[in-house]
Amino acid sequence: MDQGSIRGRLDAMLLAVIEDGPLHGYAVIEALSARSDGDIDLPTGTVYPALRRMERAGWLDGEWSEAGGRRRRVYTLTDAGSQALHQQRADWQHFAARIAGVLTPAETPSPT
Amino acid sequence: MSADPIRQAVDQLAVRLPGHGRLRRSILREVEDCLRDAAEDHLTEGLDPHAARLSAVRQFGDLDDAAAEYRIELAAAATRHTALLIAIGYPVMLLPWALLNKVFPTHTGRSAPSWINGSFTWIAVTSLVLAVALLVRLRARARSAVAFPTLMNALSALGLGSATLTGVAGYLSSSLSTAASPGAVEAICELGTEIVSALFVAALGLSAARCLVHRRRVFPGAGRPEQVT
Repeated sequence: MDQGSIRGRLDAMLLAVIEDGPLHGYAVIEALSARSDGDIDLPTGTVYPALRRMERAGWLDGEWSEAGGRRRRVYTLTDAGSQALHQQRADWQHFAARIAGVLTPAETPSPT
Repeated sequence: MSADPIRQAVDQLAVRLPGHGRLRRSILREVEDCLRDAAEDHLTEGLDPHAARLSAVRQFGDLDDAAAEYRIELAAAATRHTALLIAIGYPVMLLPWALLNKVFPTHTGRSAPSWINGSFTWIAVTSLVLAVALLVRLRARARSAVAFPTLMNALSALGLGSATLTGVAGYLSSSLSTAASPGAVEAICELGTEIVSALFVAALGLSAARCLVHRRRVFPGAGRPEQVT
């Protein structure tokens, strides 16, 4: 899958996987991979800074927690993040519908 | 340097990130934790420990790319710090002066011309309003994934300008004030208040200068907005 196209929608995809519940950084990457049947395989080093930026934007709330003797930074979707995800989903559906409309072969009128 | 590939990668990333602040430490800790999670994952797939760690580091991608993104977050933190210092610091600085004038009514009488005292309030209110507006703009920039060199320039200029004006007004207030010697208690309170003000002005000047240094490192020669992602 084209990585450039994926990066353009990275924020929406990260918000979508965190929508299901709080996740730490590597779990976000695993969820992204699982929900795309392994097709989305970004360098992990592009995902972690994006999480920090979305935290700065107020879309995610990041907190350190400890589980099984390991400290992990866990991200939770905020109300503003939920609204942003809703908006980005609507934008994507509109965009995808328009592109599909263009790419779908036009029906040629049958000769009568 | 350690032979552990994860430790090496984190050390190399650390070299690429300026400063020693809390955010930087948190970023480095998170990267190491996530690399160790990835390595554990590869271990369960049958790789030996060293190969699992190497694979986790390769999966991370280019350290320079990640460092460039993280430097933007560090710059944003420096910008936010300066803005918050203005927004919180000015009220904290002016409050003791207001209390001093209240507790020692004669203090106001001894003070410098009223236009100088009034200038503190004007500088504080103007700086505070501008700082809050820039904070809001900084958050909006994060939401649209757009960089913010102009915003950093504006906040650095605001911080340095406010600190300079406050320092000059403080000097004039002190040198033009009239007269009669205060009592011992009043003199001690006044000295304490002056120290608090001087510390605030110094902290603001340093914070604004640090913001400017970050701007030059993250957006060298930039005045135009650029796309982050």
